[in-house]
Amino acid sequence: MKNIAIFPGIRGPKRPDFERLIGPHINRLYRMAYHLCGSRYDAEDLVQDLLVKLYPKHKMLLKIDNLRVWLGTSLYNLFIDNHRRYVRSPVTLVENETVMYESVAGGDPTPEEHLYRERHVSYILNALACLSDDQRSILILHDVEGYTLAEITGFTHDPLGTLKSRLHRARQRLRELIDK
Amino acid sequence: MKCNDIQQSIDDAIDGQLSQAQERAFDAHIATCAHCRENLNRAQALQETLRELPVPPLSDNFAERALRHAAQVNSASNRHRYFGAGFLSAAIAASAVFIALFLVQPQLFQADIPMVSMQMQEIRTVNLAFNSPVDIDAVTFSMQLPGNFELSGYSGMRKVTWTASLQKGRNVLSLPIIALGKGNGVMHAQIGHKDQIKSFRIRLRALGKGEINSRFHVSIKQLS
Repeated sequence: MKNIAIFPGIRGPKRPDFERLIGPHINRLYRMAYHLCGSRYDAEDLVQDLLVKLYPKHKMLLKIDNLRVWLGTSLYNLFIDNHRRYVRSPVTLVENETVMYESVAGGDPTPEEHLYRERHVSYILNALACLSDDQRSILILHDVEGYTLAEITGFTHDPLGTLKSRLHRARQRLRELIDK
Repeated sequence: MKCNDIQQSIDDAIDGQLSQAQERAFDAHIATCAHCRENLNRAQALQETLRELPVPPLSDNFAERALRHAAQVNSASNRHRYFGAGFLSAAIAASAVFIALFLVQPQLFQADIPMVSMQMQEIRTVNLAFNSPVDIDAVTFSMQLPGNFELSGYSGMRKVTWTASLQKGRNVLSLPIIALGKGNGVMHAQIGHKDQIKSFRIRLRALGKGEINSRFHVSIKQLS
């Protein structure tokens, strides 16, 4: 099937080039967006909005050394700048847990392991939702998404020492909430 | 190292930030203290779970649709520049974007609204789950159903509004929906607290006798 462009002759970056550059990062960006927004649909909206914003900057993207960090920073900044739009209000909507989740971990768990993991994950997700925005963000960026504190200074523009303290307090708080 | 020092150093130990001397002292204490060893194990298990936190799968063909959408929006934006400034040209450009999106990707507006199917005269419970970081009083819920559906127990009422409280953590709202006749419709729902309102839609589909319910989605679309 061929998509017919409504405005032929308008030049822009070729879609296959942009797709080749950004395509491999979409799943990871969605994962990060999901943890920031708390819902699949808001996360998809956030990623989609980022792609719309980046599409005209295709040539600039080719020159970036660490696209993984640059894209993560852009997504995070877009989320912060449009905070009210991308949820995290006192009332948030979440997926029903009976919908299949894709776990990053490989291997097939036993039914008991699966049930334990679902409950454990549920406690952690609830506890994450109870943290302050700053504490939740640092945990998502560092412990969930794996960015280093040095990389996160580029996201939040906070000094390294501040981020380290915040991470320590966030982890302590998360442990307290889970233990309750 | 004492137990209190170990507690303060657990994060550095997990992150590999201890010096060699600190690491030796840390390991020596852990080897002899069951309490600290248990705390370390729990902290490490939590880190592992965070690294592997599951997420719901992306909707069908999301990457393809999102990339195509980015290309289309930017093509339409370029068209706007050629029209020049002015209210009329802006209006034309805006409607052109709308038309371009609708004609080239008509599914875009439909694909991301979840759908629940049910047999006629069958009560289908739709569960909406909400995570609240704090206890909240006076949350207003409002549900408006299409003509051939109603909430079981609220016969004849197209719109139902009530106030409830949310507890900190997970809250589940169970809506018993019954299809009075065959056909499709959209349920509009709103949740409000002070000056914040969240809206979402769910497509409802009533199947005739013999039709098979092949899809059941419970995830919720939020409108901005």
